[in-house]
Amino acid sequence: MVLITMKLSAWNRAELNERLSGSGLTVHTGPFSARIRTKISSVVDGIVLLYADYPVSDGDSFADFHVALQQPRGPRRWFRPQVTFHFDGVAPFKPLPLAQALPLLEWGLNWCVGNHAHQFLLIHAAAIERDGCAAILPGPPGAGKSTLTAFLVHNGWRLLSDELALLSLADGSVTALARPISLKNQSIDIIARRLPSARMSPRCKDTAKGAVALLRAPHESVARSGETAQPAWVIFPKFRVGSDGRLRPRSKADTLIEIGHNAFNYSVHGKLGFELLSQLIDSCGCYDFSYDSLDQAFATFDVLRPAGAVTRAASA
Amino acid sequence: MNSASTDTSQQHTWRINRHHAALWRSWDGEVVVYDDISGDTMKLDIIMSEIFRFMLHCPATPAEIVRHLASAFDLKADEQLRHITSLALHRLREAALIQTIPLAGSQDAR
Repeated sequence: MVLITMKLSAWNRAELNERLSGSGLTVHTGPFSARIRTKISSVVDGIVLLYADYPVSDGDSFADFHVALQQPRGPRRWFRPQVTFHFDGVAPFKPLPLAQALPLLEWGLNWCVGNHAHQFLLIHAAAIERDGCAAILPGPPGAGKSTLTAFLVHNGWRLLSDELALLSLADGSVTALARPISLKNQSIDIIARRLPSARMSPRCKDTAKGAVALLRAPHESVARSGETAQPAWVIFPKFRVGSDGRLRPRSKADTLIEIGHNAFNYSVHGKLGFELLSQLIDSCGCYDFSYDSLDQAFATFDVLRPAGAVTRAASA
Repeated sequence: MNSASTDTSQQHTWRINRHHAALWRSWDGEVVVYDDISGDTMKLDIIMSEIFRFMLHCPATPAEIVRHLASAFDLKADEQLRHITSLALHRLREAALIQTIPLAGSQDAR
């Protein structure tokens, strides 16, 4: 069977409905492909909105992940309706309210990558790129990294990833994933105001993370998702009113430990994981960054330049 | 750590335990060690880092380590520094990063 790949936007709604409700639609995002099956209209709407620029495959093409979003068959199909996420026919999570189906798709795809993509060292961090250099932005929920990422990738930076920075085991480069950006609570209104032309899914309330909306990745970021980048900065962002917007150097040793804590599969890779993180720390400027406005953050990031020659630390 | 064990440690020469401390990195005087046997990744504090890096060159007695720390940090080699050194050696030993060199005719290194 001939593999046909085209952008999702080339399909009409009837074709998408038929494919998604039948054998599935394989969507290619960065290095991964996910065959998605669902009959839930809000999810179909979300896929049409958020994944229009992504290549999709027809036929029985290979897919890394086989996922489905389904409504249960029992009373919960009608009474306080729910949705479940399935991976290879198994539901790894508890059901969620049907209204959260689209965010559940994104969380489920993140789970697939986080639990299976061990060809990378996976860091819970945003990652953005400019001039071939990647800035990795780790941080706990609520630190403001998605808000910052959303703004910067619409102002000169390329989106590599919003949630999962993928470090190549071979050379430490960052591979782009470039899926929709998950915005929460106040950041939804902030980004909607600052980026009025950006496409965003409807707000989904009362999730475990509060209100969630998904921002479509910039067209160029999706088009260039085959381009890797070399890490040049590890920056821990934090929104804080009254901040001066300066980058403050932080301990590289502390940064390695913190990144290790934020890596999903650091222990899986053992010695190689340590060597890869050491290489990352060697090659990056490591900073704490507090900002109190997106304009301030933009100004700081706009003057970022890669450091000079890297001095590799000794090893026993 | 009680005084008795402190007295005991003064009789030993310490060395890096290469089985547990084969992989490490140092930035700005701070050492991070990866223990490939336990899978632990440990960041050493500034004193432990200096002791670790000193002992990479050769084994050392506590007295030699105290003298080195006094020189490195411009401190007095007094009782307080000896106590700090003793604590650091204890923690490094607990992490299996260092071990004693047996004296001639005595027990194996521990």
